[in-house]
Amino acid sequence: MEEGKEARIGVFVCRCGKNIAGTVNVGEVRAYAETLSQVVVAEEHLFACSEDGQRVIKDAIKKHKLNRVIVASCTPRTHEPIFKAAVEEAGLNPYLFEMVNIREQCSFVHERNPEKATEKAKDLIRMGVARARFLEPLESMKEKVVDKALVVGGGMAGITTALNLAKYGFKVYLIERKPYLGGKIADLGRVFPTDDCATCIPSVESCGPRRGCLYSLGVALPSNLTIYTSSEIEEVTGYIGNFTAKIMKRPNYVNMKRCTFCGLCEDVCPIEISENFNLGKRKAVYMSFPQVYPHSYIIDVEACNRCGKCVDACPAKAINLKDEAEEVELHIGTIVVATGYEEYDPSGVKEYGYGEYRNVMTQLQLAKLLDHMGPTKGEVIRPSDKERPKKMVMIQCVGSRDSERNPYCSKICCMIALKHSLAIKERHPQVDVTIIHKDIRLAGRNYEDYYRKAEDAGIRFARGNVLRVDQDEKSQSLILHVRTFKGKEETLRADLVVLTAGLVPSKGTEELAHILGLSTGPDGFFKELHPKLAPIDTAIGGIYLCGCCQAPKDIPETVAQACAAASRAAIPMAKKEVTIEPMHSVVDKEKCIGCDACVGSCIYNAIEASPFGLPSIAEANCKGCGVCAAECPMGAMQLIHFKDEQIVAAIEALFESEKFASSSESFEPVALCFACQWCSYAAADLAGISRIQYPPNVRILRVPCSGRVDVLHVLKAFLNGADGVIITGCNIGDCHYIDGNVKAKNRVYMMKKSLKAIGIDPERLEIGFASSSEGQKFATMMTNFVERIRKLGPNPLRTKEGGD
Amino acid sequence: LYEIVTKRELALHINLFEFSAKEIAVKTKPGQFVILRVDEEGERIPLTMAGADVEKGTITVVCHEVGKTTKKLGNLREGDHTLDLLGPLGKPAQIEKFGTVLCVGGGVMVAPLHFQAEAFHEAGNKVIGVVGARTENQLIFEKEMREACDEVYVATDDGTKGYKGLDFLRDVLKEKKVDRVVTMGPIVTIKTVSELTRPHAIPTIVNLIPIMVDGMGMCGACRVTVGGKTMFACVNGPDFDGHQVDFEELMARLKMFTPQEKLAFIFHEEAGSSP
Repeated sequence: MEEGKEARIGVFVCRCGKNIAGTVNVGEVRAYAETLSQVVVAEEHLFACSEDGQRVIKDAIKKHKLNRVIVASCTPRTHEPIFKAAVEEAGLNPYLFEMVNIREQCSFVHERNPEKATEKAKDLIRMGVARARFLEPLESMKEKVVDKALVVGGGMAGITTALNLAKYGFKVYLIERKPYLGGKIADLGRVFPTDDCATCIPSVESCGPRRGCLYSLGVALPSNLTIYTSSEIEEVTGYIGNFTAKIMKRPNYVNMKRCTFCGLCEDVCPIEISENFNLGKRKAVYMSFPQVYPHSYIIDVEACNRCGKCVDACPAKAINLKDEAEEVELHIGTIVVATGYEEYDPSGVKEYGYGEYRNVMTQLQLAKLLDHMGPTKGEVIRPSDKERPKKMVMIQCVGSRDSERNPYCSKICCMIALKHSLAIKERHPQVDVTIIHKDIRLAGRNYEDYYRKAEDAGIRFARGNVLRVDQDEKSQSLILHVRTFKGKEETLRADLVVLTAGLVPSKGTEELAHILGLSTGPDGFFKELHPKLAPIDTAIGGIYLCGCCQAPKDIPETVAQACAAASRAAIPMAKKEVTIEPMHSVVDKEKCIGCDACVGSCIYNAIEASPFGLPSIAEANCKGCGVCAAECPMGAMQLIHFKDEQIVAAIEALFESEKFASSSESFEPVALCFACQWCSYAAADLAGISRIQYPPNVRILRVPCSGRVDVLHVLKAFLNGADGVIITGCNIGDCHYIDGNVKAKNRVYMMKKSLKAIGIDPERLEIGFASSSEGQKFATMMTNFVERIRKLGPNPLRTKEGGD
Repeated sequence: LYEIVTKRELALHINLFEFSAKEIAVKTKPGQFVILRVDEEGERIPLTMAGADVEKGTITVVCHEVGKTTKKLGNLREGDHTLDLLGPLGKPAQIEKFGTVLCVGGGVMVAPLHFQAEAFHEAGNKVIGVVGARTENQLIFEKEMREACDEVYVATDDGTKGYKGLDFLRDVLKEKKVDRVVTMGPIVTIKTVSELTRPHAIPTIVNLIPIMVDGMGMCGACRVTVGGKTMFACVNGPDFDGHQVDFEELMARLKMFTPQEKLAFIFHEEAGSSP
């Protein structure tokens, strides 16, 4: 409360026609409210939310110089904004307004018990008044958004996002770890479902069905798109709208702008490196293939012996072997992560002999052979003797759908196998192709056509598990031991085995997650904010995901997601400013012990420890859940508007009434319910609207998240005489702050043990979950809980204090 | 029973205690710690010694009230006793003539660091000290450090006194030839210092006091990973090579019982009980 200023509180009790007044004796409640300390005026109105009702409130604020306003009426979920606006019009800070719900959570649910409903309404108002005394005026802040975006990863997803964002008119930085753009598509040759070049990307110029080519990107590059290749993120600080990223640009030793790709350097380079099963060769200075972007030679740092011949040969003077790494600092407003995937390394499945037998390869390696620009110009041959194989076998789900390796389905591998086997049949119809699979999964538009085409082309499908692959030493042919799905063991011979390995997150995903503060799932892919509602967003505001870094997906999905990521990232940049809600965490420096508990508890990465342990809070990233406040062992961390003093004041006020102190002959238990402001509070409202009756013994106290409920709050309730405390939150998995409810659940579990030590039966503390559509569940939960604590009898601490 | 002969409040919730413990005092060297129990039901807490006076037969510790046990200790007065005091434990700090030694301390750990700074100075080193805290009111032992060191920097997280944060050390390390760094304080402090010295390859000694129980290498509660190997801070340490310590793991281990510690503290404060 403001220094030296006495609270002048006005209470306005709404009759809501007969909705409240039909059950609750509003006149009695109003008269009671007037007796409360610091309440200078209490009035009742037929409809407080009507224009006339609002006028009454506004007039009273001016007439009585009110500095706190309480409206006891319906649910704040619908009407709070109306009243907040009204008090603001009368010159009062809207955060000095407090709403008490005596309709959905009182009159509607206790219709058969008007007396008890009236008592409950009084209790709720007393709690509201007590809380209001501690309210503080708050202002929301606006911060400018830097209208520049950083896209991490130069594959299909990243390029598409970057081009779209550039098209919107924002400055875009695209960074790629490798020397060239393209990511995996540069290695794929042709792709399903269109069988066209993998490097055909959506055109920069139009949103329509126009084609652009990855390699002509240079010609069509928008001037507001800057590309950094051979670059990686070193550090990111800041928050939505105001990030700073440090980028480390490794040297390529070739000035890409000067290089005229004449190839003279390659001619003089003495170092030769074989690649692609020794089927291809390149020099230490090379272009991975003629269409690369950026269009330039580069030097393979590890292979180069620094002889300097290329430097002398280069007519454009583009080569400098003394190039050094360069650090670039970028200021951006949003970040899109599009770091893609790697093919699972099948040497992890030892029994298949990958890396040991020359004629066992992966689909990505086969794609290289099928590529007309590849080392064999599109011919499929066996690496061991360069002969065309007569019999090929593809093994599906290598490292995928495998409980010991990666349990998930990599989604696109069935289509990859079909695409490749059809390509082989088209070029070499005489090659016999068998696909051994667990199931063929082709859930995508027109994907089933591939299966039919494959059957027509004579490709065999066999369901089963490949137990082991052996090699015939002489012919280097392979013998597969297969268990069919009927359980029979069979052997199969093949000249060439192709392993269809699943997808795993690209290397460095964990490190990048650490740098950005993002979380990854158990599968290692980046975790989206919500699978259904926010599949592009992350827990960190202003950072978005697209492509395979989030989960395996095909190209149509990747392109769609990339467009979506561009549009998500564009929103704050188009709005030009972000509103920083005043309800964020603050730290009391004197109380803080630098234990770091808050830092680890924040799922939004909004808290960082300074060198001596003082947490610094990125207010723009704070979502206001209050979990850190509940985790702080010293009460040093507080959530504005839901500070300990504000919550505890309401708890103490509930039990200060004399009726709870005396142990009367007929025991009526009192339970305090902490309800999160999202699902569980909405479920209570729904129980009200549906007139589902439950015992009037429960008093609901609204908190932002069940995860905000502190050990202190529960203990205070019991010490003051609560017969039971029930915390309610969203269903597990539905928490509006990701996992605040899980933290609450753990805390309740832990607290139960300690309550015993002070003589409180652990059964008096409960936690329950309900979605906003589960009004009945909420009512049943309350009914059962009240019955349970009725059986347990009065809180022993209460009777002790009552003077037993 | 060990008597508190002197108690002095250094800052809010931070107290200095001198215990009468002659047999410990005669053996104590800088860098060592004691394990203390306030009463029969109390947990065992390790405290790094900030000094030992052989003549007076006393040892000095500085303790920040951060939970139930430290609060109980903080409530004791001169003339009161603690149930037991075990020490000196751990290997003493390596005090030799290195040249220039930079001693970076954070929070209450500035006090024991000062004990080492004195010893380094005596051994003929040039000693540069950093006295740090989250905020000005929590700075302790600044005067003592000024006496023990040739040069002292003050730093706070919020910039209320001296430098803001530790970034200024970048320049210090660039400008001065530092031969050895010793750092004590919150994990985040010693981690930050270790990262700052890593590019300069300056030997950096961190003093680790994780959760401990027996303090004699039996229970394994204080395990830390150093250079990929599991070490016990109580017997292999408490000093380790800061460039080798797995700080992430250490922080996670230190935070493992924070919820229980909070629970115990709040129950103790509000209900006067010991769950």
